[in-house]
Order: sequence, then C-alpha cells, then structure tokens
Amino acid sequence: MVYFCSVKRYITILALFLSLSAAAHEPADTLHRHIDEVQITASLKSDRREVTNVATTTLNMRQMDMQGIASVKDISLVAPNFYQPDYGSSMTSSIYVRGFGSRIDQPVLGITIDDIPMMNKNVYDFDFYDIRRVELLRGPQGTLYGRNTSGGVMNIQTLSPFEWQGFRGMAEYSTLTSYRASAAYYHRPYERLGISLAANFNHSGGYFRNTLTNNICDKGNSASVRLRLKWLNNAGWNFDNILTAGYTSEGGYAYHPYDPTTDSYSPIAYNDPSGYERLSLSEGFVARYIGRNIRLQSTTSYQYLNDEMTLDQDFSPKSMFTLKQMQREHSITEDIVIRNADTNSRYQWVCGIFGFAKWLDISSPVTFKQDGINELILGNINNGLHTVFPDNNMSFGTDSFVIESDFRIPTTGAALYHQSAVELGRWKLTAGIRFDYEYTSMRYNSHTTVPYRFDLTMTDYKELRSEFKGRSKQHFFEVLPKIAAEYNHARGNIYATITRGYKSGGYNTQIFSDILQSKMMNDMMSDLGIELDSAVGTTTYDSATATEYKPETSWNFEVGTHLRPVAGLTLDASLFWIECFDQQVTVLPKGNSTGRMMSNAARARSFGTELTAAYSYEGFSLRADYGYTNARFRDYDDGTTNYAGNRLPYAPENTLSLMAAYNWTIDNPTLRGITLSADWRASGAIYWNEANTLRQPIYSTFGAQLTLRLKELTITLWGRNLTNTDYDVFYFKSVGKEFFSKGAPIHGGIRLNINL
Amino acid sequence: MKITKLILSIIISAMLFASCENGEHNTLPTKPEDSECYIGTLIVDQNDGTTYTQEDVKIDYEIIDGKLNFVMYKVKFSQNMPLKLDMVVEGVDCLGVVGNYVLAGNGIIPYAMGGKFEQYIITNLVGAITNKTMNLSFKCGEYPVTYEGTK
Repeated sequence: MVYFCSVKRYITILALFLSLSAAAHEPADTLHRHIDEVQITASLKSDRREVTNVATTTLNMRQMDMQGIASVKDISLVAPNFYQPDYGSSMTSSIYVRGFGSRIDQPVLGITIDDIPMMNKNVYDFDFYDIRRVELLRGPQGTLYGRNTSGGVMNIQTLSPFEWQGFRGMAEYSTLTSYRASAAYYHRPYERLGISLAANFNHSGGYFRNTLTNNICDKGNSASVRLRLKWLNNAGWNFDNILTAGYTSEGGYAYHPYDPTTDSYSPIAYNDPSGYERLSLSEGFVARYIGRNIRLQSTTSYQYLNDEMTLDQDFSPKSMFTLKQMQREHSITEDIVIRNADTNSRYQWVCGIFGFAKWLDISSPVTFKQDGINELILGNINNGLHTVFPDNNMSFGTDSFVIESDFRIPTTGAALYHQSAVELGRWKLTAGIRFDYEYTSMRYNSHTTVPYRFDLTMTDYKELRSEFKGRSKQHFFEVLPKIAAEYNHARGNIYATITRGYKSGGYNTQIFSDILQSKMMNDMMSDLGIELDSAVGTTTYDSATATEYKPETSWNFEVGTHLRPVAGLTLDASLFWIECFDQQVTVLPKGNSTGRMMSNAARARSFGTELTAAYSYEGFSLRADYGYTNARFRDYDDGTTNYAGNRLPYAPENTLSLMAAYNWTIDNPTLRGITLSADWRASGAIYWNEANTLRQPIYSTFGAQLTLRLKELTITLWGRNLTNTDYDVFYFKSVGKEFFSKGAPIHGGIRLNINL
Repeated sequence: MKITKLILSIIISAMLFASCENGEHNTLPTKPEDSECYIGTLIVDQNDGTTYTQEDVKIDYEIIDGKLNFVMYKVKFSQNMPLKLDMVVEGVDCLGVVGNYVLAGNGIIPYAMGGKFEQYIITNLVGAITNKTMNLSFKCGEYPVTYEGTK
C-alpha cells in the first residue's frame, strides 16, 4: 500500500506539472474546454470572494485528470506546508499543516466532498477519480467550518453530469504489478436532470517485503462507486444527491526495526498478520436556492464507516501481542448556509447553522501471547517477587489471553456562525464569528480474565478477572472569530487576517489495554495480598484522567498576497504566526507500554512562510511552491524532560516543489500533442521525537513524465524517485523498540485515459 | 505443663491442618476497615542484634468456636523485603470472655500470597485482646515478632 500510495502521490505531482503546461499554452481539448467553461456550482462557504484573504492551493480537473492525482496524500508537498506522509495503511492518514498535526484522533484538516464534511479521518485516504476541483485553504477555517479545521480545509468537488456527458475511462499499470482502472458515465436525459455513475478499482502490488513471512506486506485492493443525481428546479432550486460507497482491504505497516546504538535498520520482520479493511458509505443531499435577495444551501448527509485494523503491535518476530480495532460509526450532519444574493454588492454576508450527531462503537481486543505475557507482565511481577522468593514464580495457566475493550462514544454538536465583508474602495474588511458547542460521552468496558498461580503457595491456578468500566462525558464550547483586512489593486491584493481554530477533544481509547494491563497486575497483587514497594503496572498516568483529552486551540496571524503582475505569471505569498494552546500530543506511557494516548501536554508556536510562483510562456511552464515552518514547543514537560524550544515532531521544516514542462502542439489528426515534464521535490528536516535527537534531513526526489495526447486517448509514461532516494516517512516506538517506515524507491508506470 | 502445651499445640495444629485441608476458610475481610481494626506497631527481631519496626500495622480478627483467626494487613518483616503482604493466622487458642481474651498458639502455618506459607510457621504465639488493645508475641519462622495495637 505504501508503494501504491507513493505512486499516487508522484502521479499527482506530475499531474499538476503537466496540466499546467497544457493549460498554459495548448488549446484545451474538447473535454477540458467543456468542463472548464461550465460555471462551478460553488459552495456558499468557499465562494471565491471568501478565499481572497486565505492562503489557497487550487487544483482543477485538468491538472488532476491528466496527471492522475489519486488521493489526498498525493497533494502532499504540492501545496506549501501541507504534508501527509505515506505510511502504515490508508487508516493512518496523519496530516500536518504549518507544523501542526496529529498522528491519531482529531485531525487538523477538515475535508469536504461536494460540501459534505467527512466526519471521520479514517476515510481521509480514499481513491480520487473524476474529481472536478480540489481547493486547499490553509490556516484556521473555524469560523465557517468549525471543528477540526485549525490547519485548514480541503474542499473537493466531484464531476457533475451537468458539467460533462459521456464516457470516461482510465487504466494504469505500474511496477510491482500495481494497476488501477476507473470508468464513468455521465448522462443528462432531460435538460434539468443529470445522472452519473462512476466506479474505480485499485490494486497495489505492494512495495515492502516482510522477511519473516517472505510476503509483500503492503499490497491491497480498493474499490468504490459513486452515483450522482442532480435536478434543477424551475423555481430557483437545484438538488444534488451524491451516494458514494467504498471498500478497501490492504496490508501495510512496513516498519523497519531501528537500532539507535548502531544507527541501523533491520529488515521488516513480524509474525502476526497486519492489515486494514474498511467499508464506507456516504449519502449527501444538497439543496440550493438562488432567490432575489438570498442564496441558500442546505447540506444533509449520512455517513457510515465500518472498519477493522489488525496489527502485530510489537512488529517483531516474537509472539507478544496483537490488536484488532473494529469501528462502526453512523453520522448525520446538517448545514444550512444563507448569504446575500447579489454577488456584486459591496456588503457580503453569510450566516449558517450546523449540527451533527455521530455514534461510534469501537471494539479493540488486545491479545497477549506467550512472549508478551512473559516479558510484559510476568517479567515485571516476577522481578519483584524474586527479590524475596528467588526460586518461586508467578505463572499463567494459558498461552494467551485477551483484554477486551468496548466503547460507545456518541457525539453531538451544534454551531451558529456569521461572517460579513464590506468593501470600502480598494479595501475590504471581513469579520466573522462562530459559536461551536459539542457534547460527547463514552461508555467503556475493558476486562480480562486470566488463570494465575504463585508456585510457592498455590497448587492450582486461580482465575482472576480485572475490569475497568465506566462512563465519561465532556462538553466543549468554543468561540471562533475571524477578522481580515484586504487591500485590492489591479494586479492582486494584500491581506491580513487573525483567526482562531480548534481541534475537538475526545477520548483515549488506545490507552485502555495499557490501563487494564496495569490494573490486572495490581489486582493480582491485591488478590495475593501483596503490595510491592514499586508499582508493577506499566501505566504511569492516572487511569481516570488518561481517558480524556480536551480541545486544542490556536490563534493564527497572517499576512499575504495574491498577485498577477504580468501575463502568465502568478505569485502568492503568505507569512503566518500561530500560537497553539493545549496542544494535543501523542504520548507513550513510560516503560514497556503497549498503548498510546493523546494528552493536552504542550504549548507551541509556529511561524513561517509560503510562496508559490507559476509562469508560463508559449509551450514552456514553470511552477515553484515553497513552504517554511519553524514550529517549536513553548512548553512541553513529559514528566522527566522539558522540551521547550524543541521542534515539533513529524512536520517538515521545509517543503519545496519545482516543476518544469514543455509542450509541443502537433498539427496531426492522430497525435495532438506531446508534453515532457520533470519535477524535483524536497522535504525536511523532519524531527521524529520531542527530544529532536532523530531526524530526517532534507531529502529530494526526482520525477519525469512523457504524455502523448491523441484524439480521445492520452498515453502517459511516468517515473518517480528516479534517483532512488532513500528516506524515512515515519518513526515510532512500541514496547520500548524503535521503528522507521521508508518512502517508496524508484518506480514507474503507464497510464491510458479515454474520454468519449 | 510443657507436655500439656505441646499436646495442645499439636492438637491445635492438627485441627488447623484439617481445617485447611477441608477447604474451610475464615471470613476475614480482604480489605481492612479502620473502625474494626487494631492499629499498632510491629517489631521484628532480625536475629542480628537489630530490629525492624513497622508502624500503623492493621490487624482484624474473628472468633469462631473458641478459635481466633486474625489477619495482619500489609506487613513486612524486614527493611529489605520489597513487598508487603497480608498474612492470615487461623486457629489460635482463645480463652476468656468478651472483651478480655488470652491467646496461645504454636505450629500454625499462616496463609499469605494465595496459599499456605510454610516458610514462616508461627510458633510460641501468646497474646491478649481487650476491647481497646491487642498484644501479640510469636515467632514467624526464625524471627521473633511482637505487636502492640489499639483501637
């Protein structure tokens, strides 16, 4: 899967490059001209007037369709300071924007598809096909979008049957037997009715081998289908219904053990199966009304997620412990947006009310096997006992046991928001505010039963049941203002904004096996009437408080500009400063812990810049995107060390993308054009831990692509990481061991696109 | 007199043994309730000229059919012992009337850590219980132990 996602990522990059050249100099083919000329039915929130004071990266369909941007991860590094590393599985969709992000739970980036907000980040990594437009707004967008948009929002629009009618198909084959294909039909049986059906299939042959099983560990399949129905009403209404279903089944988790003493990697080698399976469903209904005085949009959605992650959690040849995490979530959302109808008015306003409810059931049994029992549990206990009874041992009457953990987490929320903008000559002043309320609760039941015996005093095994159950609830209320001032002139604008964003709070379901493991050992001591002078439990955090974490908030101060100084040249720049409070950081309990948890342990700040320059002249086009982030802890004390002043881990300090292309237009009825493009991308340094002792220095990859455009067919040959650069994309610790995940090595493929 | 005590001790030990073998267990609580417990000082002679003292040791007891069972909560017998344990002593001879008992026992195998703790057999146990005080003296294995507690 890592290989496959890497392919998609680089295809995305090349797609952007090539499409720029095509867009810049060559007359668009019939498909693209047709699509691009259709007026986008834009969201009332992401109206072009709203994003002039936001750092924005926009990819249109031509850019993505020609070059095969195939997932959100593929946009990583294309947009400055946007980074989504490709590791683990498609469930691990960690996103970092401007230095901030999170490995688990609440994301910093919100994603909407056709205005439908995706309510679970487990579905953020999905296959792109027939995506009309992607718009990435960087910086907190909490005023209009609410929770979990402190890093920004990605608005994705799919192709509508009103924008294109006919058949579209794509097939691709790439190294290591990966292939993908998509097919779609768009039909408009009546003037006011359109319907489309699109489907795709994806097979990744994988890239990394588990040397213990001698199998590729990261191969997988995914498929999805989208049915869209759109109806335009005579009375100013239009109705849009989008039904999407997706399924993925994949391996993944290509983690190399790392030895810090020798600074060396070992081959991937783990014994228990690991993978991820997901079924997702999204039904969205959008009703839009354009009246004389107002425009209105109602977006209603139902989303269903059913996924299962299986992990050899020690990622070693030992039989220590495995995890299954099964989630089932139902979500409903309703967003009603009203704004003034006159788009030329000097006063623009938008109001909205948003509500959601979701019901999440999680079951995450952790199975301790023989090595895990001996090393993680009995080892701790017997070490203590041996100081008094050197010849006696505690033992379990089983080779394995399961810690069951079940959670029911309903969450509801409501928000009210308003934003006004007034134009005063060349100035435009914007102010907005959002009141966001959220209530969440968790019923938890974690339990296990093990037979144990202390051979000094017990002749038979005795069953011990440990249980940790209860209920927790939390309320969050946030006020999310925005103010902006913008100066417009003939060649662009300059803007300054102050915005507030927040990531919601939640529950640490991942820590429960650790809590219960600790509780079980203490229960056993209690059952024996023993109290060890030193605790035997591995969890060093108080179990009650460890289950909850609260929202993370941030203030973003930004100045920027969007300029079009001369024909063919665009310049975008921004400077930002972010102050983050109650930062949610992933922490590992000390010792041989098996869990991880989110904690509001840090206070941090980030500043940096984003620069984009694009130039095209005749057949030549050039584009550069650069992002710099200096993100550091202001305060973070994990109990033993204060990391104040250290870099925030996992987010790159620099992102750089340089792309150049030349397009030859050929006056031939068969071959219409040839495009040759090349790109160079760099990222780093990325620090892997809070102590900043491990880091990925700046690395770069090189890609190239050749595209032949025939009448209705496009043939693309592409290659990625042609210098076969060796780089790391992820690092973590588990059970006291360290691991790295590596980026994809050299790879390439051929792709065919057809439009009829 | 010595013969009488020895016979008595053997009989008590035998009864205790039989009692344990029959699976009969005391009804002492596994967790102490302060209002019911004696709280006092435990002194263990380390047999090297020093003593180990533990304060605030809780003892709870019950009397069934003239036999006293008691539990000492979270006790250590040496500074170097890295754990505390609950130790149950059953079948101590208990003579007297309510509020004023005289105790005696010998050869009693205590219970700790889920079973019989034969390494630390109780011998030469004598003591007294009133409504307010509890005094015990015994050998736990090789170690002389005294306890003085109050309610």
